[in-house]
Amino acid sequence: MNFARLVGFATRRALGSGVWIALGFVVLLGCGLDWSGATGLPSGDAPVLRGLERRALWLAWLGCVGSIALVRAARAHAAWREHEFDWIAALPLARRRWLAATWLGDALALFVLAACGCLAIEFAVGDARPTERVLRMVELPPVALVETHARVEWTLDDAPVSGRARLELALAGGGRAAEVRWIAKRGELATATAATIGLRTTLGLELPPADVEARAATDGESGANAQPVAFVLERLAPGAIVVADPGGLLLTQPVESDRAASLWIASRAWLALCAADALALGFGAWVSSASAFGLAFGVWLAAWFALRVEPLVPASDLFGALAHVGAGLVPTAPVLANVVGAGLLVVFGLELGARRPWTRQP
Amino acid sequence: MHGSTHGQASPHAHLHSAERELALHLHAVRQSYPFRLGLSRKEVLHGIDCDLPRGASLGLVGPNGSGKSTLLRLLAGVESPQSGRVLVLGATPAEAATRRRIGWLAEELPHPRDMRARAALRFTAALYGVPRAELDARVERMLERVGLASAATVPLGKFSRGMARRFGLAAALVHEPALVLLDEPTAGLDAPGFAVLADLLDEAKARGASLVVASHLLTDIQAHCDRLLVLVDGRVALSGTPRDLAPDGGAVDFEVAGLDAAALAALEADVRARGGRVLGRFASPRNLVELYRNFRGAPPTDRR
Repeated sequence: MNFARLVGFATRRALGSGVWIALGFVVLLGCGLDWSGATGLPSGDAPVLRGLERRALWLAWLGCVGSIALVRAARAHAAWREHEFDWIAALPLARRRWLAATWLGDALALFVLAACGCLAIEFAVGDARPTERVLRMVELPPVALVETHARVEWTLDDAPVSGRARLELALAGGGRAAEVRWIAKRGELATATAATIGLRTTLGLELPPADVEARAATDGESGANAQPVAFVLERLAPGAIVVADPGGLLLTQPVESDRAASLWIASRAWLALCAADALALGFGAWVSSASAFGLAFGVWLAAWFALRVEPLVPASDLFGALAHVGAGLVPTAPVLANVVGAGLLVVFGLELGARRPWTRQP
Repeated sequence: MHGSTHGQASPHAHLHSAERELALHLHAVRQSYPFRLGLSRKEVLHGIDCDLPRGASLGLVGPNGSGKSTLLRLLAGVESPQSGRVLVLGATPAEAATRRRIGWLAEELPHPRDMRARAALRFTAALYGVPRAELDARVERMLERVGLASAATVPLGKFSRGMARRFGLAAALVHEPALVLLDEPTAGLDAPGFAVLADLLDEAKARGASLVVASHLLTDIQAHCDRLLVLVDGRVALSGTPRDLAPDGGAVDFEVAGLDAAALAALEADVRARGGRVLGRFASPRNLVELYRNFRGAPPTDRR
């Protein structure tokens, strides 16, 4: 019972006026800006426009609400030492219990704030629209079209039985444009798209459907038994050097609603902030508030600067997911490893905090 | 025997039955704090020894910086001694179960300043194990007792020093602890507050609680204490009863009521006739309490 009281106490504190003001700012930003004017995109390009709005608002949420929550957690020990140490230290409670209740209260508050963020951002974006959701990202071998009629092929053994593929291409000098064709072949079937590409261009095409037997054999969307898909990228005329983003092949599937975009960004943000909160609580017991904030945030900075997804660091793919949202897509859901990683970071952070003796040692 | 008992697997398995029966047992307690970037240590307590039976009351007296607050913090389990043995109610105060039976009024109000008085007292009482069925009634009664019923919805951060002191008293006593530790309980209290404090301490003593009251003013606490421990520079300068502090020829304070001016003059003359000196003649703070009561009870037209 007392634990529940402590959790409630921590939740109320974490939901102080600062985070609501920050959330209000996000709502105002969503409702007050004309996004078609801000982006310069034609209003008919709804998925991208809505995606850009979503991405901007989630970045604002992370910058305002998320950073306030993290700063609060990093400052918790200093605030306790400054004002409430004698009250907390005299309570008939073990330190671990106090820290666990504080973290759980913070996590609940972050959940409320993420849910409110979801609702506010989706309200600002408007009605749900059909779009595509990302099934997965595929790492490509080095792809570069240098020669005039260069051609690159690669095969995807575990392609989904249906859906679409998107390929991010860029120019690497030698001109301002290039004309390319991208083909996908599965068995006897093939689909293709051709385009003149600029500095950065995304090509999209329908995957050739798998045959009936393969469909029956695969229970899911990207079963290993589906026939492989061979991709061919070729230059059709002289032009600039074309390279493909190494992680730029996306396999997608149409969905009726784009609402899940906010849900999966919120999930990533919540998992990451819960883990960061525990780390900040842990580091804050030993070092100054600013250092605790820096150390906790540093875990994610390191993951983001490493430019690769670390499954055990939740939201290490946050900016990749936000890029997908900005492209009008629904990103993938966080994987189980993210949850496990968040759990490990939480245990580490709370244990670190509990290791510092509760009583002041002579 | 001389080491700290904190952190041992079964810290009071080896206690003598006599130690279990004591409200507090201090043996060779030393405490020091690092200073000069941790290169040196300042010793605050130099081997304090003290025993207090259950139900008894102890006054800790000494000048500022004598170690009174440090000693109370050790008893409250908020700090661990550098060396020596601290037992409270037969166990080490580092244990949560022991701290549940302690009520501590700290020097400054450490309760959450963003909470309102009623909520903060209710929360504290619940954490100290006051049964849910009694919680509301006990909180309301205690707020009434300390004169904060009308300020129950005011955040603690907006309390004056006197109100904060009253709240601290309520929080220290709301769970009816077996050991009450009060650090400078009269600091910031007004005359009615003194009366409230006296009533609360009498009530705690009546239900068998042990008291430890620290103050730099002897007059503030001696009425409530069976024993006195006088600390000077972290050492025990005197341990005994309040009477031990007033040996033959020493100064004493009388508080007298019910005499008119002529009778008081005769009393003073009698003192002088016996070779004594009257060092001062002051109105008792009780008169202020009476004045406040009468003023508040007067008709509104009289308040100008």
